[in-house]
Amino acid sequence: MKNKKVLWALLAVIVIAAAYILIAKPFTPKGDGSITVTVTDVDQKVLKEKKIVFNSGDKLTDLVKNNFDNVLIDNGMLMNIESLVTPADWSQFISILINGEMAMEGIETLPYKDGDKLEFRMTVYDPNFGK
Amino acid sequence: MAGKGSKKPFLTARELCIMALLTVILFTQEQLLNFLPNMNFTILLMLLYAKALGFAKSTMIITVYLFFDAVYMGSLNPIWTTGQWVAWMVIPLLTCTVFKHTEDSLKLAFAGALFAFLYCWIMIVPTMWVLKTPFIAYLISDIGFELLLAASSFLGILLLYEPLSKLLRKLLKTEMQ
Repeated sequence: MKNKKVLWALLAVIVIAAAYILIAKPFTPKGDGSITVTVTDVDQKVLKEKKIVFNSGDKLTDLVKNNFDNVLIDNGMLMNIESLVTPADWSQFISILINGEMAMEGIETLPYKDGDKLEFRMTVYDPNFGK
Repeated sequence: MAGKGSKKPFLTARELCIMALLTVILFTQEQLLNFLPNMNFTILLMLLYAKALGFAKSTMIITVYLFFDAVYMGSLNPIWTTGQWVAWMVIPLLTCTVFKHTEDSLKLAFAGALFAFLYCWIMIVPTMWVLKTPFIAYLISDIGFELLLAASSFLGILLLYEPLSKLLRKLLKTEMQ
């Protein structure tokens, strides 16, 4: 009986060791690449940051919709994401920055590649911008 | 001091003090072993308490322990804490029914492993509800932690149930003298 107990105890120790190895091994989902997407408010405070794994052919709009809450895309423009909501008077809008530069295309057509850093930043509309 | 024919009270002051101490042990061991993921003597102690004190008294200990644990860990949430209470209550419920007459530590060790898995599986529901975790992702990532809780509970019960049970029953018996 005692030998039986010792054997079971040894088995339990082996299971504990195996489980430790299992949880210590970092889990990384398979994909063709990943991008880091950040949502920042008007004071550039980070509201949410997420590393998103993508497969080639994934649409950026789908990746954003699947990984963030309250996403509203209207007529190719990102209107809402998380707690950022574009006001009706357009005094603020959500700008898209890719690797720190203002994106030249909208969310529906913006190309992205592995390692890119995207930022959705609430920006105050400046009527004198570019003048 | 009770006279002939008088009923034994449900809870004596001494029993209440012992139960308070047992609750403290339950809470403290979990905090002390917090650095080890999912490895503790919680299931062993709950099973031990249910065996020695019965369903009602072990329920009281578990409820008080859970309240303090949730407050201390900052996880006091109606959905989460209720789920946790239900998951922990499986232990006294099954111990006082299905395993009522089981005293063999090996069989109880298997029961402990079963309780560990049941606890983890029941907790999937409040976790998904509160944290909005995807089911499959949670289930897969939890396997290692489930194994740890089950194996550590199994080992704890196998090695410590008998001596601790003798000690606790002795402690509770001395009241009668």
